[in-house]
Amino acid sequence: MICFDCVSKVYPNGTKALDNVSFAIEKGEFAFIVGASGAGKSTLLKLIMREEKTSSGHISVNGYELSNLRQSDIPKLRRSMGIVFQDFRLIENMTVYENVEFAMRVTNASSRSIRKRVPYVLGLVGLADKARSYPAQLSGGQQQRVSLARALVNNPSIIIADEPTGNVDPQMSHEIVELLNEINHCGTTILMVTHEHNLVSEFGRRVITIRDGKVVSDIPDGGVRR
Amino acid sequence: MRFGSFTYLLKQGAKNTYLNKAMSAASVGVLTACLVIVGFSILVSENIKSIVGFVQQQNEIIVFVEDNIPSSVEATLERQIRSMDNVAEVSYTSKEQAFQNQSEKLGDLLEGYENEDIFPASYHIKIKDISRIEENVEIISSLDGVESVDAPTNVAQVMVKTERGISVACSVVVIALLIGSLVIIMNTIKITVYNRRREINIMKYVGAKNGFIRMPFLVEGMILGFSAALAAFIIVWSLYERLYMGIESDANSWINSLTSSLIPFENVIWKLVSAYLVTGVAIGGFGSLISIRKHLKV
Repeated sequence: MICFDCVSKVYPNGTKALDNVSFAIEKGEFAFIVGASGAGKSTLLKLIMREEKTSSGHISVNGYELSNLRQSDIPKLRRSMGIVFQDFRLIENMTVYENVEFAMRVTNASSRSIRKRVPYVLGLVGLADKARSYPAQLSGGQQQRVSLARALVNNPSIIIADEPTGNVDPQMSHEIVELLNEINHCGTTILMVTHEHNLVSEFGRRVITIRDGKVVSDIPDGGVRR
Repeated sequence: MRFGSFTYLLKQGAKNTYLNKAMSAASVGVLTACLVIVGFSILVSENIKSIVGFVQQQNEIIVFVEDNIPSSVEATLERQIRSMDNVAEVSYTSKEQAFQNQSEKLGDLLEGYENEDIFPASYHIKIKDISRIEENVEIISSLDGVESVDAPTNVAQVMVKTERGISVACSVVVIALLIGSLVIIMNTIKITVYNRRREINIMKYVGAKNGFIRMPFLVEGMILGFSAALAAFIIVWSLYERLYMGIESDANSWINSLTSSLIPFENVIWKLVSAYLVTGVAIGGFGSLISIRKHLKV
């Protein structure tokens, strides 16, 4: 599903963000990527979303070979995954409903299916009664759930979550990871970047640790080091 | 693209125009001001040309005919003059008519000269293009039966130079203003787009194609351009009408005589409406597309 093969990334200013990274995440897996600030986690996500290109090595995501992906195919790649950001990235002048609707509109979905699907997904994240609210009227936790609803609405096979609990209180953090866990049980692959070790150890899923741009440990579901 | 998606994008464009009220108002204001100035420059230039044209038409060539020439020669002369391509109008004044005209002017001074050939017969010729007056005078002077030709060649040269000067000056002003408007409107839209770069960025991450992101901005730019065109048209219309009426009702007969050569607004209304709409919508849409380009590379 996601495969890194000897991937390195050096930025134009000479910073080596990733150094010969290799790992594979299979369909239906839930993996945490952990590491300190500057370890290379963000670069790893940017490469998966094809915001950046690799300096060497190959990445494949959902069947897309990213090193030779055409510019015009990037939207297709991004539609095949749901992305949740630490800062929610909701469009301020759109209501909760419209934010989620937008993600379906870009896929050219019919108005009829949008009217059915959006309320359903908002119900899943517990925000059915906030459909008409604007992001600024919601708490951090609620905004993150809207972001999750937007990531889920197109029924993607992968969800990439970049520090989704970074801006919410501990209880809400737990609820969000719980929600991701449930989504994973329905067969969706989850890749979550975090630096909250408590959460990681509590859920006991696969943990890939990055330090100075290298994978230093890879502990699978169940806790045996690979 | 589905019809539903298309109408969704149109609605988004209209909604964004409303949501970004302050920037929309600024853009419309700037574009309206530019269009009003451009519109007025063109109208002033056209009117000056029309007035110059009117003054030109007042100039005429007077051809004095030799005395005692056979009527066949005189008929040939008239035919030759009328067949010249630059001639707009020819009127003949006989000797008797010339005497009468002059005695009306001079009164008693001509008493007792009634039976003498004092004044020659003449042709008064109005020409179409005053810049060719010297060439015409030369041809007419060489015709049989012509005694002399009187033409305001110096005035003609001044008029032709004036008209050309005004045309060039107005074209330069209009082009400079149009370029200026485009730069100002693009900067205004750039600020709007810059304020919303985060929104564009989010759209890209959700998997929106460039065309999908551009469409509402294009619609927004076109709405702004359309509104500015409409506002500019109404302003130019009311100001022009007021100015026209003011000149028409002026007691000064010289200024009043100009109104006959001024262009009434009704004559240019459709030209102006269509030019404004096309320019406004094109500048708005084009400005949006250029301004958004940089932010699409995510």
